[in-house]
Amino acid sequence: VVGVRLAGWRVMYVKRIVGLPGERIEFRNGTLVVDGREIVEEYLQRPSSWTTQETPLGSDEFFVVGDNRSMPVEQHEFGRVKRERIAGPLLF
Amino acid sequence: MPHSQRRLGPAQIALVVAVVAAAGAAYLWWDSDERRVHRRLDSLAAVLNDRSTGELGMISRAAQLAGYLTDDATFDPGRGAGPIRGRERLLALASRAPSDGRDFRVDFLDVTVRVAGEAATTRLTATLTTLRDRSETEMVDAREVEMAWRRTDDWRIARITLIDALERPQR
Repeated sequence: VVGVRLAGWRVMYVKRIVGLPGERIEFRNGTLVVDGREIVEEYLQRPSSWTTQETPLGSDEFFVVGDNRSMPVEQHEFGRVKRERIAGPLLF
Repeated sequence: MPHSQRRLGPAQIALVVAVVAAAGAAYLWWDSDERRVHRRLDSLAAVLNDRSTGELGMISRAAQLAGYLTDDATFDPGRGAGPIRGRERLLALASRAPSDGRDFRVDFLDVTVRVAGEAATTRLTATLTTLRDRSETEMVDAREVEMAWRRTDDWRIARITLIDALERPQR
């Protein structure tokens, strides 16, 4: 779980990294799929029904998403992020 | 009584010079175009957070907001939605939000200002804090925003662009 920087350091998104550079990420009816393999996410409290197209990640890109996915997919901030925006892991 | 005179030592002279230099720098900074744009942003946030209600309050707020926009001001929400052009259309949009009566607050944080002649650019994080009625839990929405400013009678916003820190996947 990392902080993702916006314009500065005072406000950040708190997101989980679920995709690393070079991987392909998609959601199939709420299930995270990385390089074609379905991932069991035991940390999720509530299921979702999100479905997205496959997203290939570049060499300096990660895929981040929040753990609360109970809202409609269009209301959640998630997706590809450049390495330079990742401030680092949370300390608590 | 003998009149005694004290001479300043090198350390004291250096301190005086440092204080005078800091005061001069502070004055220049306060009076700079960068600082003027900062102050315009602060006052814009105050107008957006104005709780005036009723028709008169909305008219007053719209008139104040108009003073922050150029005639051809454009709002680009990104994510495939087309830009909204023209001050009057933007004011109509601003007068409607938020429309559900919840208490809210707008803040501009992490502001960077760059001035080049009669134009300026600001990069900032805009937060909208809303209070849920029953639980009184604060919900904060944050978006990165770039604003292009133009100096006319005062600094006015010519373009507002929402920046996506995260690139959403296609659905």
